[in-house]
Amino acid sequence: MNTVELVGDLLMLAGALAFLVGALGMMRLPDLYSRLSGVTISGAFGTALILIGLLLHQPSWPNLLKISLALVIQLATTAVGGSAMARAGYLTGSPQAEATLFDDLAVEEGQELDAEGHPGQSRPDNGS
Amino acid sequence: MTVKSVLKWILGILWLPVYLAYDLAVGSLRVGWEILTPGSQISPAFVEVALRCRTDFEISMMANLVSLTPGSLTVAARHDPATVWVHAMYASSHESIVRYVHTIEDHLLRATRPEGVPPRPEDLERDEGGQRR
Repeated sequence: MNTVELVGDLLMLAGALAFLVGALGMMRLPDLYSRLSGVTISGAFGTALILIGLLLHQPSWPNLLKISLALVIQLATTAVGGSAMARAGYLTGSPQAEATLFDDLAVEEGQELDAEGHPGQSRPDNGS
Repeated sequence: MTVKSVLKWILGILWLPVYLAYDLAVGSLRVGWEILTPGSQISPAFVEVALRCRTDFEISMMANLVSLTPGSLTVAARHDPATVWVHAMYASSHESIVRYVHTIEDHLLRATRPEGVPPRPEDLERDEGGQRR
């Protein structure tokens, strides 16, 4: 076992721990939005560490290409999924933590909700 | 477009992943520390941030980059005028979150716009507590 493989092992171990922390965060954090942030630790940080560790175990140009592609796609989908869940949670009125300081969306929602609808729902293609 | 601006643009494209990796690591460690230590120091808030992004690509990249960092999450986005609503776990003030999102935006626009980054708008509509005037 050489040094590069050892570093790879350590990165993968750190990635596994990141998954554990993310799982604990699901229980520890107070509301939906904070929990989604906690999941990002697993989905983005943990996965990135494990993939980089894997690359250090089998370093080659084709593997670099494959792992970079996997990393980019994983990070993009985690972010899109997180946003979609947060928005669905907000639109269906998921309770917020008591510590929440202010809510700019609620101010918007208190105003007229006629033609424009909720600000989060506007789309590039519906004119306005 | 001068040679200098093209060079800056290429540097911006190369620098964006580095900044993101740094941001992801720092955010993960911060939220991870919050999870593992007893007690709760989080002060979450939903913050409305006006963007300088114009194209669909820039706005969707912006929303995704904010979501990617643990501790901040895009809840809603609007196309015209470009705005994102961000849930932040550590909102000491309204200003700090706006500044944080604008920092990410600076790095993004440096990579997407060869002509350079427009200056940040002053957030004049807010007072110290983050309330509308």
